[in-house]
Amino acid sequence: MSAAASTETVAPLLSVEHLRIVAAARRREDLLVEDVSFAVHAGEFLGIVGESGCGKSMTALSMLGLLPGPNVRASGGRVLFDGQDILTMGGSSLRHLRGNDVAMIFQDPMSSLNPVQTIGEQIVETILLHEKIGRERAWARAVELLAEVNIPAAAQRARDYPHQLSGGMRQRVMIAMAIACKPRLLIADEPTTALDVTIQAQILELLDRLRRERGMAVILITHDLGVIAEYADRVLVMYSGRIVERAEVASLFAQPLHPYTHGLLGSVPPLEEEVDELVAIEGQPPSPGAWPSGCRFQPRCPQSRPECASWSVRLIESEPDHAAACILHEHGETSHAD
Amino acid sequence: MTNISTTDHTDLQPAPWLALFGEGAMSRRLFRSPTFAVGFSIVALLVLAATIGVWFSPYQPNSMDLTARLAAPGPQHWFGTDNFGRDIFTRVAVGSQMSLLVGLLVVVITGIGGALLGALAGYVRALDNIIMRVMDAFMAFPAMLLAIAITAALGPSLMNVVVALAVSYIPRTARIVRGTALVVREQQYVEAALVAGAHTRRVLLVHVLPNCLGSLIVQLTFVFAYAVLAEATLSYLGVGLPPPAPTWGNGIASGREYIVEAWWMSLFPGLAITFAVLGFNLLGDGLRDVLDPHLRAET
Repeated sequence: MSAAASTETVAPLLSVEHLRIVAAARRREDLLVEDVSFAVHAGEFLGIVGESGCGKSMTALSMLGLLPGPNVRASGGRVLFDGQDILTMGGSSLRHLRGNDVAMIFQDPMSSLNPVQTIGEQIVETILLHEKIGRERAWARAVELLAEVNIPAAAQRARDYPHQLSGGMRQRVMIAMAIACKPRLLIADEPTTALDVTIQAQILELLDRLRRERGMAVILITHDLGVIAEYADRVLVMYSGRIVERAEVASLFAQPLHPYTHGLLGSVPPLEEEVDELVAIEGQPPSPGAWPSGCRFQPRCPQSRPECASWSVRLIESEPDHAAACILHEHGETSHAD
Repeated sequence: MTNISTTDHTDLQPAPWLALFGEGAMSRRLFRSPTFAVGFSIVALLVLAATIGVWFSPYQPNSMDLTARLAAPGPQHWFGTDNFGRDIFTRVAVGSQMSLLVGLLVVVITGIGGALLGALAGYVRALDNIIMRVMDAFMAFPAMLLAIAITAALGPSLMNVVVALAVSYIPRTARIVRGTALVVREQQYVEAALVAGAHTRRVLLVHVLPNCLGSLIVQLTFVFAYAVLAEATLSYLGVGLPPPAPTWGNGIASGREYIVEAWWMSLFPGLAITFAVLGFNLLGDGLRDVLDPHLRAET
């Protein structure tokens, strides 16, 4: 919650502009992500929150040019890394980008390591993909990296196979692999969902430390608002393929503007006070292709009005660095009816 | 949404094959399976017969002794002699060299061809239809008919028999490897390798292929058994290795005319075939029990 506070003058490391992703299947095209724009600066910790299916993982994959085309592809917008559009990059520049500039870690550390290779070899593989150094030096680097992500007895552990490690350890190995070539942006797609709570904290602490030490930007994709509150500088809230709220982390928690964010916060049990009942958001998120017209949250929204269905959805900035896509803010109203 | 939880598939990974050569946990589990132990013993016995067994015999496989034509099994000739007075034990032992050689070569070629084609079809989606339809075309012929046709066209020789059998078995092997590769390609470590900037070729060789080896090894033990049987069949039909070479197949064939007076001429090569096929099948079953986690629960 520090670093990138006022970096507007500096060109962003990554900027996503009006990204639109569609899934084509049998002569119909479903929209997965629509009009998503945001920027990430060097050293910044950005959180993206949303339910499963809201398009956050697709957005992340597009930043690596890894959309599972030809059926799922970006049909509009730009994803600029250092001024270059990732969406139009060819094979070899993409391979150079991946690992070197942008790295990613995944949700399930159980299946993200190759079971037939030792973890040391796997890190060496990654290093050798991008750097022409000898195997021995690469191995030494691998051991250093393992030590850097707090794996005890790194030199011995490097010879272990993935099944000999716990889930938390494997996620550390994944992180070591991801930072092996000093990427400037690390995307973490629900990195702690499969881990238990104490390990979660250690992993996030580790990511945050690496961000500070290496000046690397981190995009954390999660559905856990607590995690966001703890580590992120800025937050994007996504719902049904759109960004519904964009804010500094403090102002998001202090004053959520979009009814959906409000609902999300209401469904998390606060630690400080006793709550009799958590307020759940009614209904289910609509699946892509079955999105309602206008505001997509309107059928579930406690404050919906008839005109929501025809409103042309856009982010409305009501305070500096705090915007929400809700009709309630069109004339400077707040979403807090209570 | 792309991170479809892959945990359901993880138990499909035939990953532990590596441990076969590791600390011994796997080999101990293998030998605890009676199927594997019996199969392994039979195969070991065959290999011994093919290598050392030949030295025990005072006879040459092609040296004729017309005074001892069609001699019954006894202390002089353990398995008896044939219509030229040649020692059948020696011929069966030397024949096992032929059978094992053919089996081995077929397994090596089938393994390499099947693994590459299968992994390519399973991983590179664009090639899937092309490769597999060609494989289907080959599979439309019964394997034996295809092998006979190929050897008949190329002429009977060791290499031609091997080629004919490999061509017949590659499609089946490729199909199995493709199936495993389809599971492996969805694993997150494949995606992670792509994210790290790996080339398709690299992902294929380093990540996809090694993780398909478990099912491939099992399949190849069966291919070995089929190849031994098929080689014998081809020799019996006269399209395999040409007659002076002692093979099990032509041993049975030449004994056919003398089946009434000299049953041992056909019996012993026949038993050898039975043993070899049984041995490799048991070996394969045992391996599958250990390498295929779906069956592991029951065993």
